Amino acid sequence: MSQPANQFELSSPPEDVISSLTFSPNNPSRLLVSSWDKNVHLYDTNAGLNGSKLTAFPHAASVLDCCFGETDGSVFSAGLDWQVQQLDPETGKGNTLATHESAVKSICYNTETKSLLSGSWDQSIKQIDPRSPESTGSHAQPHKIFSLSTISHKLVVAMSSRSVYLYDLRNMSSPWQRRESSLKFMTRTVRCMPNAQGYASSSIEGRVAVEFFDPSDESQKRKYAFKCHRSTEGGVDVIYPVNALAFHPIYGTFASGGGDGVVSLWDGMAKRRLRQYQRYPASIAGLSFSNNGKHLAIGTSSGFEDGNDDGVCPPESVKIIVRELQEGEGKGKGQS
Amino acid sequence: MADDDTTSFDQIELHKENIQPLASGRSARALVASLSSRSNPVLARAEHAAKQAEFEEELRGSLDLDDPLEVWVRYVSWTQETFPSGHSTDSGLLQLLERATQTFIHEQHYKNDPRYLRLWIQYIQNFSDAPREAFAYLARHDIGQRLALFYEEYAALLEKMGRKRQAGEIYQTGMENNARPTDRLLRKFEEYMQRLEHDPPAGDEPSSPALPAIRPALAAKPFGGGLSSGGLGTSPATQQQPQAPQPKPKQAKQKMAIFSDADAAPSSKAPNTIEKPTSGWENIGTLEQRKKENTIEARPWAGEVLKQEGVKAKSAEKMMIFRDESSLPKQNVPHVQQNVLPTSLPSNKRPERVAVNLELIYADEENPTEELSFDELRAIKRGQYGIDWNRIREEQAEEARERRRKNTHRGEVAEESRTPIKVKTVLSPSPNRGKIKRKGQAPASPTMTFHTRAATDEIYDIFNQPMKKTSMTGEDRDEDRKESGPEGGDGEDDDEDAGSVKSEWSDFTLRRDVPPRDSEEEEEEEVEGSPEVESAKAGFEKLAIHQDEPKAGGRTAIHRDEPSDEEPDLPSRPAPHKILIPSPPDDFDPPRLPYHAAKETQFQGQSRLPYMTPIAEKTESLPPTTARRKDVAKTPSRSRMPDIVDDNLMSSPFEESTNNSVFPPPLVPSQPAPSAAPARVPKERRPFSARPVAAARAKEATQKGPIIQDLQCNPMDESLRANIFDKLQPPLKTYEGFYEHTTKFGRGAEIKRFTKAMSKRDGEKTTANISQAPIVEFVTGDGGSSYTIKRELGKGAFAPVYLVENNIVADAEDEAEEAGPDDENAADLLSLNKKIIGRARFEAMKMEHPPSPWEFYIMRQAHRRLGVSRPVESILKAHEMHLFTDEGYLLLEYRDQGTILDLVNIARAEVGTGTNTGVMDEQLVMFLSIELLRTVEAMHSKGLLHGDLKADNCLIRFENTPDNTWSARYRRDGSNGWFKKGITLIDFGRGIDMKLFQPTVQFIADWKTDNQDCAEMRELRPWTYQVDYFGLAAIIHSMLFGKYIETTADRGNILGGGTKKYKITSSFKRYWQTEIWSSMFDVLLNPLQYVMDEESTCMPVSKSVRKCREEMEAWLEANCEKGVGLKNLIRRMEGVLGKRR
Repeated sequence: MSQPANQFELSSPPEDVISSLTFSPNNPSRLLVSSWDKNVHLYDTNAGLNGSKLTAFPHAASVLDCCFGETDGSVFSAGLDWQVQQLDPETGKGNTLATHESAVKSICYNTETKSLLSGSWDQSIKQIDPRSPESTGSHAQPHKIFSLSTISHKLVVAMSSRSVYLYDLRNMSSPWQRRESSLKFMTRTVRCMPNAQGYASSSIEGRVAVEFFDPSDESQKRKYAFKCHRSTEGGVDVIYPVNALAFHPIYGTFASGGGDGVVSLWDGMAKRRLRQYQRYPASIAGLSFSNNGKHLAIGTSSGFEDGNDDGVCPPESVKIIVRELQEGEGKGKGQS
Repeated sequence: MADDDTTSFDQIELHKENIQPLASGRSARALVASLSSRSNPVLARAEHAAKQAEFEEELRGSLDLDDPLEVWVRYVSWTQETFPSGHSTDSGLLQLLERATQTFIHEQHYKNDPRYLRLWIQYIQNFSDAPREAFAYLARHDIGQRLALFYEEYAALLEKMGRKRQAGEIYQTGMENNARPTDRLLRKFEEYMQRLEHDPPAGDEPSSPALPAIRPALAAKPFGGGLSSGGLGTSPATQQQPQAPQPKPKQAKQKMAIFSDADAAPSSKAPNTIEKPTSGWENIGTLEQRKKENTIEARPWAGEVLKQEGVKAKSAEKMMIFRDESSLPKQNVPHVQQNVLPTSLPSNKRPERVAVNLELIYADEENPTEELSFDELRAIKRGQYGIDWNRIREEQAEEARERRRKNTHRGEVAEESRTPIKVKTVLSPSPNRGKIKRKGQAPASPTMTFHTRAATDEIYDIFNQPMKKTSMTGEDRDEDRKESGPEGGDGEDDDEDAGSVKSEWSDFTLRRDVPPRDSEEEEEEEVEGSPEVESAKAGFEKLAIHQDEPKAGGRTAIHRDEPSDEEPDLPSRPAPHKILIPSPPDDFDPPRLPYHAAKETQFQGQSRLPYMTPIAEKTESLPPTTARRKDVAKTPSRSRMPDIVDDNLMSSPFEESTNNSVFPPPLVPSQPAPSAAPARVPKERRPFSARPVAAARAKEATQKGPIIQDLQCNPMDESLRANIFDKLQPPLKTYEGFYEHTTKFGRGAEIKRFTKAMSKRDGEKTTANISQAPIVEFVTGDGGSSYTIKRELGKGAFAPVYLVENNIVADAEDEAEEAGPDDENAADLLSLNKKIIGRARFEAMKMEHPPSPWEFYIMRQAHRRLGVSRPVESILKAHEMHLFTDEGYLLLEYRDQGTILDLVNIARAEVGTGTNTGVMDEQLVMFLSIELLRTVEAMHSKGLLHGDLKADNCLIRFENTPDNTWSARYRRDGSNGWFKKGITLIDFGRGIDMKLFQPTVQFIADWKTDNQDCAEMRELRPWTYQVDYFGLAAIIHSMLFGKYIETTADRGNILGGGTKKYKITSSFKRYWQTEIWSSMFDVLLNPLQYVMDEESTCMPVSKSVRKCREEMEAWLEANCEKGVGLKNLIRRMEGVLGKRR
């Protein structure tokens, strides 16, 4: 099992529930965290003993998602204030790129098309070119958007009612594929594989599905789902939601974080669990691998994810843990 | 122990229950010794073990002894002395006896040793599960055949079993065998004969031989049936030797020799049986062997299936009484509704529980596919959901003039979920704008006729689509027309234009009790209004009609209004607004604009969450007919609303009623002349009540007698009810405590969430959130009222009921408490505050959406018509009714003692304890039945039907009575404290006021019926009072039998079928008052057959019902003190019901 020695807690974590966190695709020590404390926090995980906060971008309302753009100098955020903003880490100022009709749940940046995708509870996604926000395209969806993920030219849109649409970003006028989630319960997160072959999705009922883009039957046969994040408490199997997924940028394995506070490492190809880390005291809210695959950032905060009806989050449960992966940790079975 | 020589009997006394009696008696000294050794069990056990080991050692060598049996006998007697309580794991007496008896079974010289036989008898008496077979076995093995003891014991056993003939037979066999001591046996036999004389054997006792003779044909079969285990079917006897020494009569031997093995038969035939006396019955087996079928053999677990306990539990739940918790919608919901997933399929899996609260996620019961993500839930919890950020930003921008907003969508609006919302009835400045826009995008289903998923999705689309600013004009008109469609069905021939005006005006409701207006509106009106005489007239008419109309709030439309809005295109704006603005009554402060605006946005924000507030929580009783739902949505027939009669009626609604004499209408030929009413119209209302009202009235004047002229109708029909409200005299709004608000309230979702969270929390210890209990405030003309939601009391079929704390009463009480009893002010506070007279700190609040004042109306009518009487105590009080356009709040008296259903269930839960039979005691049932019959009888005599009588609609009313004011003897007149005990009827939502109908009216029910509906409904025949009679029968049936009523129809003997006669299928207990009960059920189930006994020869059959009740009362008065006594029964129930809270 893991040694606490190879992980540390970031100093000055957000004051409220973490909604998302992501490492910079360009810099292995830049970590962006969005939180319900109405801020987006930018950390340098390498600075000092426990990292340090570089900037905090205040927002009008809770921030639900954040991501890096082309460079570390462009950071995007979206949240309950309906807006998608571009943040400038130099000045700490925000610039509104687009406004939805409801809270914006998820954003992601596509490097191929250099566009930002935002999905909102208003049942639409917007494709935004950060350089010319005027040319934003809006695309109505049948349901509330819960999670977006993009890789190469593909966009996966996970919506309520277990609906999953796949788009080709070069042709957003209609979905490339319309799918129903392989999981029986509400989709929590989707994440694309770094090799652009498929995506993993997780549900609130302790399951993760791995599916492939290729619509051919042969390829579709490879899809599968598995149970995880369950624990036996008093003779009853308690099933936790799987809140976070993150693919390892190099090995293509992925980590899942559940409401039970457990982070597991999976080899999606070999269908094996590689590691399961010690249980963290609160629900896992976000996961992200650094671009070099050496670190895994884990955000924890308690709330609905672990069955807490109030949605109240004790501040002490909000933590960002950066885990240093050992050599080969996270490497799939049979990979050299 | 005193000293060594005397024996302390104290010790024995203490343990006497644990001492197994021995035939030979016990030595007191030995007993004391063994009992006192218990003071140190560890030591004692060690000692015993040592002694046992010693014996075992001795036993091993015993075969060399001359008398090995002696060791066994000593061992057994030591064991019995040392372990006075008989067999236990420590003593091992059973095993010891088994070993001892088995050891010598083939020892010839012990066969007639009395000590050996005694061991056997001990074994048989104490342990054997089939003593008769054991004796037969002994006989077969020739054990004790020469000993009188054997025959005595066997005969005694048989005699005890009632096989007296066989016992005699055994005695005779014994005597034939010359068993010794012969004299004793003879003596016993004589005693037996004497007993036999006194009590001759019954004719039916078994006459087969006690020791069955050998029957070769059956020889292979087991003997005696009960001996299937043992060593049956083993190879023929090998070791058994013929018993040469004993001179026994051959005859007897044959009798004893029972078995003849089939294989051995050819060679050994009958005479040879001596040589193989035990063939086929080698061994009677140890107790353990004999029970071996009962023990599960250890097997490998692979592939084994373990039965789950949970499955069993389900079948064990015999509870059939229906609990009306409106759980029905839940069952339609897919698997996700239950937190515990179905576990029946993979039965070897552990039960699973989803950590997430799925009820929150799938919050909308009506629409299970709509889900809320965690983030949405959190946003909702924090009150950050549905905030109109565009608008906020717009305002900010405008205020600060810093940022240019580029996109001003109108849209979602703020909601502050935790702060109490003050309801101000406000004029909506532009009633149609936002609404029409929304409507414009709703394809073809503006009134949400069916609440299907598709419909919800549609609404969703409406709500979630980005605004299209230009989608107005013609399309919108269409929608309006559609909306006003049903109006025509009400018999109005307004043209379409009028219709559209009307529907717009329906939002622009002006009401006398809260008619504020603000300057902004006026400005707007002036800007936009350009009156046209024609439409103005129509508008007036609509307005007059509509003003006090209960708003059914089915509208999904919301006013969208932006203060800064300068939209030019408001096409179908009705012109006459400007003229219509009334001058507000003097006693009202016009609401301040910012506040007003803010509040209004709140309401809009609430309605932004349509999935949290199911649009229509309809009872199953109301069939989804399009017409009705449309009516609900748009408050039909508003043109019939008469004008209010007088201002004074506000405070005392019934003073005028005699003049108006609407009640009872059937007796009145016509309503007051239309010209009379306008004269009474208060001055400030003049502006509206001018000619259009008169015109409307003129139409009405044609109405005569009962409001509803139909001779057959569905009394629950919404349009019919709306019609009634229209024509009611005095109008409903004059009832005290009735408040109609023109606004939406929109708190339903929040309250539901809170109570849901509360009920969750009940299981846990946390009470953290209690401080955030929603406070519901109603702002009314006389100061308003405020209630803190405590918890959910129940979900009726119609609407949830909450326990609320009346904050006014609570404050007053608290203040009075603080002030102390001496303070005069305190007394004043309590007594002078009119608002708290007759009110209690805890009250019940029923939330309905769509709202309907019907229940309030029926309850008020019941109280009014019954006046001050005993039955009125049994009808729940309605304190206030707040009617909003979206929700209705009915404030009711709170009774915390549960319902009759609870009593039934309590009785059922007590099955098996003591004498309880699982149903309620007859006395108590009788008592409650009398209460029920009296109440319903009284209501019927006043022309009121309850319409939904069932056990869970009858609250228990056992008021606190000191013992000395309440006699044990039942008094039918209610004296001596008995009037304080009874029931309270609730849920008048299906009530019917017969005085609104023609005397010969018949009702039809078009809803789905089941066994709990009366026969007429089930058979689609018209009905009236039957509904209540059947309800009564059902309640009484469930009390008597603890299960649902089931009836059968009996056509009697008349060929071709006489009148059907209904009977209950359950049969009465023999000791019940079957005559009373059966005649009562007969009346209640077949009321039509009793109408001839009535003076009126028509329903209700009060006379017959009264007769039943009086019989019951007479019986109860005579018998109430028998057994436990009625008073004690009630006291006990009070205790149980109290404990449950």
